[in-house]
Amino acid sequence: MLLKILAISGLTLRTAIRSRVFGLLIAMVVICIAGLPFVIKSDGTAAGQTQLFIHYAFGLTMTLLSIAATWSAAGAISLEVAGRQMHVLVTKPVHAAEIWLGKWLGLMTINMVMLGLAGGLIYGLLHWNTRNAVLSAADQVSLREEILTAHSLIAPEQPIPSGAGRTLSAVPPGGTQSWIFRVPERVGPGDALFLQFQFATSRIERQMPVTGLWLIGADNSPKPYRTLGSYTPHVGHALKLPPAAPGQRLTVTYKNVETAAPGTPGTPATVLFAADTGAQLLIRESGFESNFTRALLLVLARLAFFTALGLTVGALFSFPVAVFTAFAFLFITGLSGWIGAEALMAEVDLAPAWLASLLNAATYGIIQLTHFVTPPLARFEPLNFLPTGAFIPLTLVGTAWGILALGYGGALAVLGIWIFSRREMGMTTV
Amino acid sequence: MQPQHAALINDPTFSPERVIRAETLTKIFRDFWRRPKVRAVNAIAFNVQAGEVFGLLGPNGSGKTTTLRMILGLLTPTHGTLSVFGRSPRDVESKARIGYLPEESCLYPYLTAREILNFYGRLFNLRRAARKTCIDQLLEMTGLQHAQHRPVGEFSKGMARRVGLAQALINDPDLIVLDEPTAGLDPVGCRQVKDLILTLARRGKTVILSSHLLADVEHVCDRVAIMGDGAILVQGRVRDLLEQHDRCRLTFPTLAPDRLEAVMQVLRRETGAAPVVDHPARTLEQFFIETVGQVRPEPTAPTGVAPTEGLAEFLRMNTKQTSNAQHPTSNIEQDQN
Amino acid sequence: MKNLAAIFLILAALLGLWGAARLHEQLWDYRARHQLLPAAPLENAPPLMAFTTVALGGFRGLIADLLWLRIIRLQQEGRIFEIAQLADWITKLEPHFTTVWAFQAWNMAYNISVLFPDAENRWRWVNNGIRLLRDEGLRYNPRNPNLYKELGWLYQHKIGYIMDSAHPFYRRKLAETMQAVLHGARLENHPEDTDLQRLREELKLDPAFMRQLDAEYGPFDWRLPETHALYWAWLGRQATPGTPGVPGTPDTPGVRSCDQMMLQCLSAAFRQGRLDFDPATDLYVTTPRLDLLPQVMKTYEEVIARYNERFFREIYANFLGEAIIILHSYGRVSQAREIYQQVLRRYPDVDRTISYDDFISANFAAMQKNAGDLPPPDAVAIVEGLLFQACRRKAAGDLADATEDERRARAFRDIYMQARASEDHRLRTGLPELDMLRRQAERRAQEETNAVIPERTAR
Repeated sequence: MLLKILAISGLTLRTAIRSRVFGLLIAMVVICIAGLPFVIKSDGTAAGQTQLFIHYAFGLTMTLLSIAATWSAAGAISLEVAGRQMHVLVTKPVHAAEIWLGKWLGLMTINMVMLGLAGGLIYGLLHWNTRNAVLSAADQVSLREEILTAHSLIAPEQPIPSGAGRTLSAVPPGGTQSWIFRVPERVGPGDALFLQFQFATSRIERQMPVTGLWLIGADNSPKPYRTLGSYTPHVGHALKLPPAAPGQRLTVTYKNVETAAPGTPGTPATVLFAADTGAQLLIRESGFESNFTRALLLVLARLAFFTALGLTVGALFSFPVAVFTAFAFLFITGLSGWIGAEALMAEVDLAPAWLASLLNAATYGIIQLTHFVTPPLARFEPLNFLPTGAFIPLTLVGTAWGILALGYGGALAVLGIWIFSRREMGMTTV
Repeated sequence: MQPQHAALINDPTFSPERVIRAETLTKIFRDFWRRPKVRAVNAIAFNVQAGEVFGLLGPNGSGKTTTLRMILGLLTPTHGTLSVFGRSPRDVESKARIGYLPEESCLYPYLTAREILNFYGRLFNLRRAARKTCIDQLLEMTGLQHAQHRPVGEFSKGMARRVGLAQALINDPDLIVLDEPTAGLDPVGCRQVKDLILTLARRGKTVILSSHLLADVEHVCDRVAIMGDGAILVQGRVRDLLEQHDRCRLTFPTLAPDRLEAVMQVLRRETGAAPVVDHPARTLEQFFIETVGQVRPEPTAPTGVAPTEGLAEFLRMNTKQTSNAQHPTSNIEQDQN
Repeated sequence: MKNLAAIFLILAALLGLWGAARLHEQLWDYRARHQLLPAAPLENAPPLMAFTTVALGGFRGLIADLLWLRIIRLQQEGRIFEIAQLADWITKLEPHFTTVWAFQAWNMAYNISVLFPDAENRWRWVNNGIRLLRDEGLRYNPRNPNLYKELGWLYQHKIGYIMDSAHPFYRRKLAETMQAVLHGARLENHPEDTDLQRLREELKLDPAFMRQLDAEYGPFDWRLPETHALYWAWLGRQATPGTPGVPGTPDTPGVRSCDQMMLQCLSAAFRQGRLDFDPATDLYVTTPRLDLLPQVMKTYEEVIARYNERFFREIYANFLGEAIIILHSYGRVSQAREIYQQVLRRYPDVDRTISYDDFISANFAAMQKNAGDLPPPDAVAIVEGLLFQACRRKAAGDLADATEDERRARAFRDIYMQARASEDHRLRTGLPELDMLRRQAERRAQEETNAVIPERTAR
């Protein structure tokens, strides 16, 4: 069984390389990624430029490879049926499952190589763009600490008392609010530590900054570290903290130093911290390289799904129809995360009430079904992590493979194999 | 209306001699709305015995290829029974004993001849060493050694047919299905293929082929079925179908007119009818091969003429001797003379 | 026969193409006439952009919408590194939609900049907004007064006004940039070619227009944001659709806004058009340009005559009131009185029973009472004006009155600063130290003694 699968995957690979599809795709990816730095227009900072490059280069790679994976998978079976190579293949002692899996494996090998190449290119360009000659040492350090890293958020040990459904903690002018964090043991001695915080204010002017004092005390140092700043509400801020030893307890206190003075425009603001995202500790979880690798694995999980999708529709339809169907499915998948059922609700004044409720029930059902049928791609979107230096846990990669590749991919495989084993070939006689 | 998948049931009446059994075999092609569109094969019945060369004859669109495709499991019968080696044609195990040459060469254009044979060899789980031996022999047999490392996309139609033939034989099949085996070949190639079929048959292989070239069928087939409009119009042994039992033919060296007249008189007296005298003519094919043979004594040209005298070694070794004594080869030779 | 048919078909196709092209031109005309936007094809656009806008046709609006939605989402999430890129695409997809340019530039300068706590980063985003309008927007819409006004607004309000606590930083940055090019307050008579090139290419300022503006209304200190706002508003009211070089009429869209902005900027130039700037010592003090008053008043008169609107008459009255107070505090009482008489003559609803002195003292009292709301330039003018008078009196030997002026200046500044208790408020609207203002006043007094002839005629 395995030998036959390997034979078929080897054939798929060979065909892809010989037919220059592979070379063309590589050229396209290389041109797109290498040309990107000349096209993008960032905010002008090293950090912004780096983030934008990671975001666009990675996004572009993902898009190109996803399209290529779906497209070539859609053709892998359907084009061989049209070209009649499949007529000969199915007269050999091979099961439909062996053909399907062999094709999938071959295409995934291509995907893997392509992704590896593109990933290497992005990584190399990233290094090249942030090399010593381009960026100052200080810029490089802050890049390493803020973006080219993998950090995760640690919730406070002693959070805001959230009894009785309290989700917000108000700090009036002159008031304070404290959190206690324990620095995890896994934090290295030289790792940069950040406090990430976000708040709302009682002001009507949504974005008017407020002045606040942060006091950070470690349990063995008597003098707390102080920093005064003006912070804009509704935006995540990251405050670099002095180095702390692993296992240490940090007491973080916010003091609202807004003062009330008669006649001043803008009354002093009360600051509101959310119980869950108000203040969190940002620690370095791993290096950028390993995070980057995990991001690539997330992409590969997607490609595994796209390949399965393409193969299955290719087993069912002719090539053009298969391509159209696969992309339509992906389009719906993309939209299903975006359009809520509410957005499509019929309004009562447009139709009689009974008709509207009937339409709404149908819409709701369709949306629910779509949600069920389409895979949760957004949940495993590497772009939500990589450009901001957020840590991609291995469990997420595992879940992505479990859900996208094994779950959805497996279901598609079963469907595709079943369809293919029943498919008749050579319906038109010459 | 669902097609009756009677064909998928194992055949309880299977006997080793009967390789293919078809009864009331019907194939109806339907349109998008599943309405019957074409009745391509209409309730045909035939059997193919082991070691027999069976020909399906008929004009274009008569249902030959559809019948073959049903035998190969590419299409499922709409009605009727069809068993191959006593099993459903879709049975994967029995496909290990089948070799198929499609009507058109359906090869992977970017692969070389050797790679294609290697690929199919792997599908039969042939070990590497055995695979290499088989491929070498098949390439030699089909005269493709010189072109084995070229992509088959660059091959001429004739060469591609040879690759197709080689892949059909890679598993040393017991049943060989040939769809229009001589299509696209020059007369020399045709002859070689026909000789190959005969050789294979002599080695006990069962062959079923379709053709609309009557000469092919006449020369190689033991039995034929003539199809028209999806139905078998007539079937039987070739000789039985063609021989005129109420007439005889004598062949002797040309005599002087007076001596010939004497013989004629005897014949007239004995038969009571006027005998017809003429010179036996060679077939055009025979003449062509003799003529081309003088110009091209050795088959080394790039278009490659296979030395079909010898069957590939592995095909010869594994040959199961059959008890079928009435091989048609002798008959054909007699007819030609 | 077959060839003949082929030739005929080709001819027919060419005829059809020609006819379509003709119709197309008519359609452009029709759309332009009925103001069905976007009418004209892009001018000056790079080929890729011209192609995209044409090829996408009606879909480009849809794509621009999607990108816009993305901007909103990213902004809410605080992920702003992509916004400049998206804004670039949106504006290029809809290059003729003024509101798109204006909104994106305003969004960067106002909303995104304040997401950063530090002034340096904020300034970068203000600059991104300015560049989007100045370098790109105006390039594709050179005849749209609204865009000029929007650009002017970024200079006048974002950099010039006190809303943002980082505005002193912005002002200094602009002054630094201009000083590096101009080597002073204004364009020299024989500037270096490299400087001219920088003006044209980097700052998109035309030296000829700069001189023309200086000659007509100025001269101005080009390191001040109000001067830039004035420059763009002035260009905007000339750059109107239709024949180039013909200024727009009051009913041309956008022209009224430009006129209004010119008045605001000229008022500001009078109020705070004199700049003492030294990046080395972080000195940045603006004080009034009393000599500009005649030009400012003349412009007000012109605009009022052009529009004949109550609105312009009212803002003129407000300006004149402010001018009277400022002139008075610098001791130009006769000039101030004369203007006061003018106000009484022109505005019949002004209460005639109030004398000049009452007007002055009432205003001073009100300013002290509402010191918290008093704009910084007015406060500076009053404090420096009093210090200036003290200088003159000291020079004249009138020490007692000099001390009294000095005391009043200090008291006024103290009241003003006391009204600013919060750090943020002081940061935005605080006054320079008294000593610094005194030095300004002394220099002003020195200049007035030296220059018998007023600055304007000396030019």
